[in-house]
Amino acid sequence: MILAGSALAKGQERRISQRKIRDRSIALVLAGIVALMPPIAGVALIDAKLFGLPVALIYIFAVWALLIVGATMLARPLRDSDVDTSSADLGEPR
Amino acid sequence: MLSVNVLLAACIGYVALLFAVAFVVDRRTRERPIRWLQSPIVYTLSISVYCTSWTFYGAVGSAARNGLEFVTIYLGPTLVFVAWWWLLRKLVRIGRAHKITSIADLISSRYGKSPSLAVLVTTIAVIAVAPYIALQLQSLTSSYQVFSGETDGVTTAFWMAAGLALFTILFGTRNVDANERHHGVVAAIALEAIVKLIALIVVGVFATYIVADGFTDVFADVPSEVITGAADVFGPRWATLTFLSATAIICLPRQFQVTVVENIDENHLSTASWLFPLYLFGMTLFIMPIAIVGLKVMPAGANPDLFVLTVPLAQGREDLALLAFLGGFSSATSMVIVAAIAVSTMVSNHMIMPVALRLLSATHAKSGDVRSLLLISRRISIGLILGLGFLYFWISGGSDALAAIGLIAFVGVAQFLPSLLGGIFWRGATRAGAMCGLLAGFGLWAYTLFLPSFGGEFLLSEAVIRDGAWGLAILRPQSLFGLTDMDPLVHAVVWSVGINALCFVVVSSLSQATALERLQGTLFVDVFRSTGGGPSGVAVGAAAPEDMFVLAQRILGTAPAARLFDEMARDQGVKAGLPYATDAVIARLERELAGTIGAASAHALVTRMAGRPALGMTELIDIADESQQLIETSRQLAEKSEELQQAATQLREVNERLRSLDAQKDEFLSQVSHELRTPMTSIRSFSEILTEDQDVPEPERQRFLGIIHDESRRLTRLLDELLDISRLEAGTVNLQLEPVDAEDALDGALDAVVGLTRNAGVTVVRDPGADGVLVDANADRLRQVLINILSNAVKYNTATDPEVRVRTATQGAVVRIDVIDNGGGITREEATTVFEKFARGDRAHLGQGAGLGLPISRAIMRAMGGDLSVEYAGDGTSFFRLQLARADLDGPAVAATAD
Repeated sequence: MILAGSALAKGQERRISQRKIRDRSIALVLAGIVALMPPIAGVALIDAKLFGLPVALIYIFAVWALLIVGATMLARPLRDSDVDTSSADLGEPR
Repeated sequence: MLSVNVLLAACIGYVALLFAVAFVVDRRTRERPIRWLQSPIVYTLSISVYCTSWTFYGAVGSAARNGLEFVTIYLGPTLVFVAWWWLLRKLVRIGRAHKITSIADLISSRYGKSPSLAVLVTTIAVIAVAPYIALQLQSLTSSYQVFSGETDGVTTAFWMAAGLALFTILFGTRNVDANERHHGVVAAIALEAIVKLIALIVVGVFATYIVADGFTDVFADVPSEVITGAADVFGPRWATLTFLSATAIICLPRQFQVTVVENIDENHLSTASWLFPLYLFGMTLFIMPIAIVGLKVMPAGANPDLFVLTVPLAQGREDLALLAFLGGFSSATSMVIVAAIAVSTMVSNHMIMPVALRLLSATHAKSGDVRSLLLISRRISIGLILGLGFLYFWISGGSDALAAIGLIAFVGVAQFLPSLLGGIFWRGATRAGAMCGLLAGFGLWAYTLFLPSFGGEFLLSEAVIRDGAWGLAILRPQSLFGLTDMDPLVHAVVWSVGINALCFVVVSSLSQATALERLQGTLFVDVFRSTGGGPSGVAVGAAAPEDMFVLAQRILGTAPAARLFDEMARDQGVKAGLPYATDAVIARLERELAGTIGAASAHALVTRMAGRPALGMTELIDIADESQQLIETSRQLAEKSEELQQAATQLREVNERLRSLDAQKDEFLSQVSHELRTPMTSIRSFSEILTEDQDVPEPERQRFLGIIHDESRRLTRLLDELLDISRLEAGTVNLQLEPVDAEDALDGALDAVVGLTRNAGVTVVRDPGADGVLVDANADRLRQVLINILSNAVKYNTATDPEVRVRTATQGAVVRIDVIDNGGGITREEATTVFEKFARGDRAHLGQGAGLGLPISRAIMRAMGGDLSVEYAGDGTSFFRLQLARADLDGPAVAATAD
């Protein structure tokens, strides 16, 4: 009984962490959209330079780079969060 | 200057290399899959076919003209890939489960395997791809012209198109394996992806660090307008372009081909989710520096689209220029190959095959004939697609900026978006809705963007583009219905995609889906819940295994068909010969055929062979509704359990009530027996004395007999009262009501108790009251109640100067008779129990009543539609109040308002 209980708790924990990972993936996409779209993107429209580069240019490429970093971090947990996805072919080989 | 011959030799050498790669990979794969070619990196690189010469040449041109805007074309795909879990994963799963061959196949398959929808999507794809291919032709032509110095672009473009067509046919349809995966092509595309990335980065580094002195130097004295382009770079056009590029990465036929159709492992997407954005990042990192360096070092008026090529040339670096040329060549050829393969598959599967199959079905069948027809039709389609691309280039004059041409194609394929997304996320989407949306969107795209792009050379004259059709200003293609002051591209997107989505949703909600549509809709929307392709909706009946085998041979080829049927027979446990034509076998066959000729054609073919499309429509609907029913069932279960809970609660309450009633009854019985016991005991003891002792003196005997007589009368009265009250409470007594004068009744009662009052020395005060008021009552019973109340007031009065006051009053339809005594009254606690049977107040010892008088009185009053209650005066003293309905007024009964 104790064993079954802890297995159950583990399963539940797993489900919660899976949901968390998916929530994070949505949050990342939304953050990207908000940061790259008007009107928020307009904050970068400053006639100034940072490290010798125009701020608008740096801003867009920095957000982009952060999106890539976020996606890299989430790729594997997301993949592993779906037990249905097998690494093998689905159904019959073509 | 590089000679044209060197250039051509380099091109041919490069093509030969690609061809060799494809050839070797195809051959090796047939024997045994090559491990590293099945890796997610190759998959990601093949997706990079998104970066065409639009990226390689056009992005720099776009950056030089409009600044930062070029980035939007890569931000959209980045966002879509970062969100891979929510959309691309589902598309890939559906594509694999249903053996989808193209985006037209997906849409038609989703909407009930509709052939007409497949034809429509294919038509839009063919037309939309034309500007895109023209873009590649233009970039190839102008990059070639940089070296050759020729000016006749059309001839060059023609030979380019012809060469590319041949190249694509050799590449894409050389394959005799009847499936839609092209391992060789994918490997070649991956190689091209590396070549173009390296070429662009090398040119970028050269421009940044050799021509200029690092990034800081590049941007040193650049005005901000060059970076941001228009004043509101982050405006509607920015958002629209990002939306379009996000759409294109899903809806472009070639992207669908590499991302969904060529996918061999769903998990590859997780790598592509960051690697593809990273690739795009790398491709675009040096775009802006190249553009700015180009603007600085090149003479004014130089074509910025060619900076990638001309900047190294101007610096005398012919080796770099050659590399850049090969990079551009690489981008263009990979796009043309994949796009032509993808679209030609659609054309042959959805336009040529249905007609051909109809014609062929009449002739004698022979093995593999459909397959050879398939290959021929694909080759013709490839020629047709490149021909259309060339035509577009020729008619439009090929003078526009590259990016502008590409965007026309983007808006064209964006028309697929509503039907595609609606199809995989919305069960209620219908074929009619998709049809209307696509038609409306396609029409608006053609009118507002595609046709005007010819500048009056094709279908729409210059006058129409300027003044609107028939001179109606409201129909001006670039400010439709007065929507002016808008970027033409944003305008076209708003109209075409907006109306498309609107039509799709509205018509879908108004139209009815067929059974097959509902089935497919469920399978697509719930793809993560269903297993494999699911039932395909084919009638099983007259299909003979031999017919099925012949059909499979004709389409798949002899050897693959034999393999398939052997496998199916083994699964059924059949040792030799053909498998039985079960549902599963037929469904499997249809799916296999769909992998070659598309779902709609395969469905039509198998259904025709099976004899009838009759498969019980009810069965289909059952399957489609299965999940709905599950939801419904669980909802009903929840309701049921709630009902049960309510019933249980009610039962508990009833049980409680019964229990307390039972207790009341027990108490009542014990009280009754107690009341009966007292007189019985005295009757028994006195009669025993009289019986046993004969010597009782006569006066004693008379007294004893008197007591016995009194007690038996008391017993009788008690029993009468009990009977009376039980009948009154049960409502079985029908009291005859008549108008009775309240004052008269009171007078009569007072007369009856006058002896009692006189003996007790009680003063009776009668306040002047409502004279002559008639009440609804039974005269005898009212009198009984009044006597009871009055005698109580007299008997239980402990005051030294006892007084009873009586008064009558009317209030509306109610007549009140109050009996007030000064004898101490009844406390509020007592007021609740005084009307209970056998309950007696504190002064009960003063009398000998059984405690039934007040309950009977109240029962009588209520039976007459009135009431009897204890009221409290302002000073806290209590009195009894009788209420009755006035007989001379049609008022509501008192019982309804009292108590």
